[in-house]
Amino acid sequence: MSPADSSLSGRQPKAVQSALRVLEEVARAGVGVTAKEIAENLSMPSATAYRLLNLLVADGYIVRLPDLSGFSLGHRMGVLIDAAVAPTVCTAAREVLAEVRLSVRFGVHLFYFTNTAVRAADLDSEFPPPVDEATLNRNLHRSAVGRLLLAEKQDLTGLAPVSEGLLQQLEAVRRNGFATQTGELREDCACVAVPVRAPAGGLVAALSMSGRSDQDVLLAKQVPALTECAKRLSPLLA
Amino acid sequence: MRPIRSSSPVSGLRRGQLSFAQVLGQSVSAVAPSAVMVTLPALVIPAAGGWTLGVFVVTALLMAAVGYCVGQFATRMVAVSGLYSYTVKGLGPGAGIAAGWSLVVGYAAAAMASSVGAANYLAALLSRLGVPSGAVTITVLALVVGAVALTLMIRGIRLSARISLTVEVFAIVVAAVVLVIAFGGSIAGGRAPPDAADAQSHSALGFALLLAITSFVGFESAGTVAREARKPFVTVPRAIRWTPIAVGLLYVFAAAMQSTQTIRAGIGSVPIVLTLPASAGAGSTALSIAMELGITASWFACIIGSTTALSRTLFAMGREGVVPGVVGSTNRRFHTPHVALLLAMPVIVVVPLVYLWVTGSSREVLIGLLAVSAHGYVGAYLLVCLATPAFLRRIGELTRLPLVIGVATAVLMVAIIIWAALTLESPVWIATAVYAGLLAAGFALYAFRLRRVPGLSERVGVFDETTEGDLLADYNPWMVRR
Repeated sequence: MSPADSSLSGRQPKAVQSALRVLEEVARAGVGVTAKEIAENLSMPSATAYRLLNLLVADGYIVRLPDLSGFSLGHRMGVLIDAAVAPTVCTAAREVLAEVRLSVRFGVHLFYFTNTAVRAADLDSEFPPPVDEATLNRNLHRSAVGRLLLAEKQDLTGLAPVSEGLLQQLEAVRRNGFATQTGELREDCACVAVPVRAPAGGLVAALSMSGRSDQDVLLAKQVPALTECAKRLSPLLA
Repeated sequence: MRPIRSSSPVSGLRRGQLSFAQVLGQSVSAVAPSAVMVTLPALVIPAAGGWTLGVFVVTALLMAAVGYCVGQFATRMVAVSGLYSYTVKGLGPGAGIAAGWSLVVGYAAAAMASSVGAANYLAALLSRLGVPSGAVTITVLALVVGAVALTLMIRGIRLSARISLTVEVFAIVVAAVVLVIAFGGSIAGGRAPPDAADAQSHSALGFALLLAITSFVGFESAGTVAREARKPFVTVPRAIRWTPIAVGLLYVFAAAMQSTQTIRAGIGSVPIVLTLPASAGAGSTALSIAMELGITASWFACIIGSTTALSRTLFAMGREGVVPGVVGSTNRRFHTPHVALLLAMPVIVVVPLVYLWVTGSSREVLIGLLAVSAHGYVGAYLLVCLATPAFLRRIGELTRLPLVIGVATAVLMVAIIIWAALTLESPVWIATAVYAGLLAAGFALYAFRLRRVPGLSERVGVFDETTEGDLLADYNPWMVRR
């Protein structure tokens, strides 16, 4: 063990700063930058830079390219990027939503998906959704929109508490092509959600309808209309 | 810059299967420390005399240095063939092939020895129930043990890793308890350690060091399950760095316990089934049974550990084309290299049985196989130590510490080998010749395949490399990925 690995005191803040600088340099220098170049660009002792790079690779923030000397940003960085992007909805899509809202007395909402989260893109101001975006993301397994996201994933670790019941629900979501929730997020509310997919098949958004929990049967009857609408939205969002 | 592929060259093995404990279990079970704890000090003490503890401390440090070198690779690449692919990345395909076949010899011979060991200890246990122990019983038991191990390994790495870890922990605890009970009394009695062996100690010290090194081999095998481990860049280097130290502590403890009074190795049809000293008292039968159970378990875990490592190495060779491609196929349902396993296991069981029927002595078979195995491991260790600075230099990450440790460890190992060869009383030249012959056969096969398979030398050394899907290029944030 080198001394730097075991000291947990005054040098830590420096180490964190150095790690973040290394990360930033990998992003700035682009795909294929080598460890030596990073150490030189940052005027950092090379042993420090190499150790930090290996730590960042171990945690998936960056990856080593097949030649083993070059680096690039890794998937873990996606979480940071996802948090920074803001959803925008084009006018044509807003018009489709307005049309649906005129036809029903339920809340009609459009959510976008990042790789691991749900983002509110266009919410119904007249009949707002049962919970806000942050609560929704903490309760993906209890919400209709969240279940669409979970049903898409092979690995649920970090996203939801895995239980036999949830796995069965997700299997039903995959089979039926829509997800529901009655009184699970809030006692008095029910929702139904259908996926909006890119032409290539990737899940990009959810179209959901919210109402009172005693209206769950009526909501379920809206699924064909929602699915039709999701088809119209697909080319506008992808 | 090398092109980035759309799928990994070692796809088919499932990722993220093993926890840190299970990766550690792979390394530890391939070492089989509990079997070593009760047998090896008895072999080393006569050779090293009063230096026994020192011998184990020195070799633990030396193996920790090898572990440091291996760790340099394990933090940078996710391998399926461990030291083989590491050596290729450092010293190129030629030296890599030498390391690869050395590992195959090392793992295969270790698995064979374990199969003989497990069968013999099981036979010893059964003989207490009145089953006649003899070559026939041992043959049947070896076949059964091989079949069970094969089934577990094909059924998935998680299952076999869990079982071998549990079994090995049980074995270590039993060995430790037995040693404490059997020998603790004599220490309390304040008996002076026997120093009759001291007179010859200096002449055989080199051999004792080499023997002690062979008691650590297998610790590097975590490198063969990196693709199947969770967080491989963390778990694999950690397992490889800590195993030699942990195992070294166990050996020092075992040697300290036994240095007061050595276990006598029984010579006969049953090899190294130990006779406990009289000081163990009335409970000695119960202790013997417990120890036999523990050591059987340890041998069994060692079959799984060694064969898992062997099958992954052969699987990698199959993917490269060094051996026919079919060896590189995986089972669709269990995601294990079933062809490599199905090819390897019969050889592992049958070769020692033939050897046994020819020589008639299990002890001779066991020692012969362990000697061949040790040659393979030590050869691969030597190469990987030399490969470490070369690899780091090639990727532009060489610093002073790995250079010094890599070169110094290699020099020390060569020195110990020469010392041992010069001071050896009973020559192991047969094992050396067998190892050399197998290595030559490996090179002949490689030369043959080089002509048949275009671009083979560039493909050698496959590992779980970064693929298109792992990169953050052309990133679309509004998309759910599976």
